[in-house]
Amino acid sequence: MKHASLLGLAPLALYLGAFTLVPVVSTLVLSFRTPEGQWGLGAFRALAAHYQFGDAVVNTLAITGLGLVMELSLGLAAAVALAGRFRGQGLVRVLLLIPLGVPTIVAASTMRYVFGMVGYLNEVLYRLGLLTLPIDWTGSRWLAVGTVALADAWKVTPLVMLILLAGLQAIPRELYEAARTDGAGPWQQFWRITLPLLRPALTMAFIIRGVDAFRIFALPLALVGRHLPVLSTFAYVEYLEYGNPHTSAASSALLLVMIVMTVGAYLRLAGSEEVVR
Amino acid sequence: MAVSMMQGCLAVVWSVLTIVLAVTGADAQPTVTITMRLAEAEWHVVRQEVLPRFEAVCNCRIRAIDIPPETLVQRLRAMQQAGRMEIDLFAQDNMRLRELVDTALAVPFTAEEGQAEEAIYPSLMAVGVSGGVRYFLPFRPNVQIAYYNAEKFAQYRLQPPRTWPELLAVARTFYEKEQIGRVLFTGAGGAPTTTQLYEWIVAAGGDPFDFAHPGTVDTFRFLAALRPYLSSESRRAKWNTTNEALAQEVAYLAQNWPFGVPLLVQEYGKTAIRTYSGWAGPVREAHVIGGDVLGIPVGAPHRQLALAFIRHLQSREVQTILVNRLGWASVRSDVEASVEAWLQPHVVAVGEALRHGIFRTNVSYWAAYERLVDEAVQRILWRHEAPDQVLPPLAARLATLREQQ
Repeated sequence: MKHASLLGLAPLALYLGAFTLVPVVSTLVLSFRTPEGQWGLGAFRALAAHYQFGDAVVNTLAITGLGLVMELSLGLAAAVALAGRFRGQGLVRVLLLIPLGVPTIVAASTMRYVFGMVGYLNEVLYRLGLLTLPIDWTGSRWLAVGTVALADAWKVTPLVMLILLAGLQAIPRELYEAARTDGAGPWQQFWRITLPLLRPALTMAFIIRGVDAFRIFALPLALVGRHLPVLSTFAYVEYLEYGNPHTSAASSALLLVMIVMTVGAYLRLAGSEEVVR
Repeated sequence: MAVSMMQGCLAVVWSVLTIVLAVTGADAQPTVTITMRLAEAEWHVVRQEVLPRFEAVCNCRIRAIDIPPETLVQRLRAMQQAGRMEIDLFAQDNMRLRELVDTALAVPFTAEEGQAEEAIYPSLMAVGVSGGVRYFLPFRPNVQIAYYNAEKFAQYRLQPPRTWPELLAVARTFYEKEQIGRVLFTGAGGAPTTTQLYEWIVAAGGDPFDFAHPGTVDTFRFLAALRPYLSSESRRAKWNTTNEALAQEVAYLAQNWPFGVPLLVQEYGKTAIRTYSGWAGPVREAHVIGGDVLGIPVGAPHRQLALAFIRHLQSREVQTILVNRLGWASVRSDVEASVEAWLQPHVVAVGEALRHGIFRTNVSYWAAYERLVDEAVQRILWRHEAPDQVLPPLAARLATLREQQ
């Protein structure tokens, strides 16, 4: 019986080994090798000296942080709104989920029409009399970071909303009824019941989206270009454009470390039992 | 019964053999195999309008295949080592020729074979020669020209710039009139940026592979002076997005390859877009010539037919088709009168640019060089760092690269 269950796990183990473990280990090995085939930290030294690498790290952190704040706030608001009952709820739910089905590269192209110099956003602001000259939404660094984070939030907030909605629906209604009987208002119910009991779902949403946000790739590349480097686009350009697999691997390895550290820190703060539960 | 069955089988075998011999017999048409890297629409025109004319005249069949430029050398080498060369003629990017010569995969043309018609631009003949021997012949040149929005230029009573000071003045005027930069520099990085900068450096009398050369330093200083008046789209500008910027009137002046002409005029209906060869630097006017050249591999089975096909591709008739149907730049200076009226001014612009054409030096460290150019442009243009601070360390790294090769 034991052997049979082990045998049943073999395809999964094989899959994980071939498509996850081997590439990750190969990348790590590559990052510690020099082009001459020696072991060393040359690739990491090259990264430290690279004029764009520091920016790539900061941009990745900023987009991830800003994006997560927007996604969790908007996702929570949408989930709370959808948790109640109202007319047209099904239609609203479908409409809110549409961005999730749009491929990222299509979303990036769409966002170019929104945030371009002659894009819809500038046009709307101009017609409202709020602008006389168009704004280049991806022109300066921090504006570009905000624009990319916003575009990413538009795309993935529905996922966060779905996770949180499932969490909300798992909270027993009786708790709210008891709170109302005791005279608790909507805000008190939200802070004392909803938010604490939603912690497992929030943790799950944070981890899923956090890992994904660190790996953001197509949006910054298509929306802004190379002058807003993030770690994944940095690794891509190093590998494909400049033919430097070692610095590309080193950059990817650091991205992996950042993801592991962030998830680890959050689990430590939020409590890993939430995930286990 | 058995005898009649055997006779029946023999009759079938005989019939099959007769058919096979009829198809592949000694008197069948020879098949010439060529390889080119073309887009689907380009293949359509070549297959429909270019190949049949040659097949009819030479009584042969052309088998056209598409081997990517980056794998051509390996494929030819494999065929050579197997003692079975299947390719009679190849078209290859003019930046990927060195290895074909170094590995002796390209066979030299004799002086007679290598002679070009008078109508072929002399500047295009330079690229096919190595060590005084001709290995390649021009077929499909490409050269960057300047696109401008004639309505906007007329609105502000401006003339298309012909020199660097005029370019700066035009960029400044647009900026002052509209508070937005309208001159586009292809500053997204990679090949588009390197190509544009290469010709600017040569136009300034600089050495593109020496960042300490006074002409190269002057080019970067000029870029820094131009920066405040450049369109902000310049950060993202590549060859494809340049068309978009011109079509949407985000930019009024930009350099790009001629493929944008049919796109802008026919697809976007931007009849106000005009073209000319571009501007000169402090020393000369220079435009990088891209595109493909033709070569014959070692052991090609039909060398004479391949040579005839090269002449066919270079002929006025075929070049006119390629210009009219695909908007390609022509190797010939005499197709202008034969092209459609709306295309003629653009063909003149391309011809003028080709007269000032230059070829990029084929260096084995091109990818590393491109990385240094990207860094220089990023730091000087988009991080506003001073050229005099940025260039010296990059010049040292470039010198090291040169020495290592």
